[in-house]
Amino acid sequence: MNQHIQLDDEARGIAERLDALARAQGASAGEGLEGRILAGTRGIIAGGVVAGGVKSGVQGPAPRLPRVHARRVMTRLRHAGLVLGVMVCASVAWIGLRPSPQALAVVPVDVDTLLAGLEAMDGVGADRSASIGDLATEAEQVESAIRGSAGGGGVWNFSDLIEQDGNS
Amino acid sequence: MKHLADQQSQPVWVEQSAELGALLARAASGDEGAWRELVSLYGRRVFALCRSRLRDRDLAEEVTQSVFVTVATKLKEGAYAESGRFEAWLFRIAVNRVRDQVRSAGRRLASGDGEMAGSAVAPAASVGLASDELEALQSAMARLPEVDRQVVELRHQGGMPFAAIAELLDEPIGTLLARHHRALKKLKEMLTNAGPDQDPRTLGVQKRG
Repeated sequence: MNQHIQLDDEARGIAERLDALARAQGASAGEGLEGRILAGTRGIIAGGVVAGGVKSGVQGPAPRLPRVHARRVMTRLRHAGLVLGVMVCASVAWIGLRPSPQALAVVPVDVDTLLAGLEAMDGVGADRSASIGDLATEAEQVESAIRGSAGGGGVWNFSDLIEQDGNS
Repeated sequence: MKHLADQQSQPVWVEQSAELGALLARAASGDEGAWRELVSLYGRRVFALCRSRLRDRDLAEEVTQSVFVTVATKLKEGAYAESGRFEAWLFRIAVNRVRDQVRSAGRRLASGDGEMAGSAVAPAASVGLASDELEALQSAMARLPEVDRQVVELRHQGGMPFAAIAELLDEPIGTLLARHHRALKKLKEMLTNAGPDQDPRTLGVQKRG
């Protein structure tokens, strides 16, 4: 495909200005840009530096760690420090708020007192059982009385009631 | 192969050729002369691309250095096999590195540490345009949509052929040609509307008003 698109005069004029801007930006680095790049990479190209380490027997200066990388490392260190600080604060807070060892200590118990208390509770329970037994007996007596009045101890039902009502 | 000094009078074109492949192979094998030639060919183009976004000259140079450290390391490790895509590979590294830096700077700006705020580009070199024209052009570029600006920067600051830009951005070359042409029109319109007495950096505000 033809990459040389046909630009009209206006677009061509802008393109030329953009090229001029690019040249100016490139030139703004100063004369030594290539030398500084070479100084930072010569050791790598020489074959000794791999991923930040220096092999033995390497000639030439070690690459300078760009400030951008150093800043990135510092940012990560700051983040790690922040996380560590939060963990320390949380630990201190937990230590401050947890129950004291005295509160968690086991209180000695007098076994005799405990047994006496249990016996007393059993006595109250026995009294209540007796009361319930009395109530049950009374209920049985009332039921017997009702059955007796309904026909000499026979079965009490609605037919008896109707018959009694008709007789009256 | 053309040297950078020859390329500065024209849009920079470095042919993806067998010669470049041989140069890369020599550099990978430890030939410092070949590496020096690669740095001469591409150093300022990468720097110009970085400078266009980062503005701070020192920061742009540091990013440029880090790009070449990465390239040298990858070449030595054999991680790059030349297949006519060196420029796309090189400038992809640069674009990603610049993007990381801009994001990082954005976070710093948000937290009040405004390193990127200062040092607007003020090229001192004589390139046939007045400095205020260059400033206006750069301000107009900053207001281009991101996709348009990226093509313009890769084409002019990076000096890349459209085929390499298409490789880098993974887009059809016709789309990029049209986008580039449209971007030039927008720039022309911005500069015209700004007028000689109008600061183009405030154009958007004035239009809204």
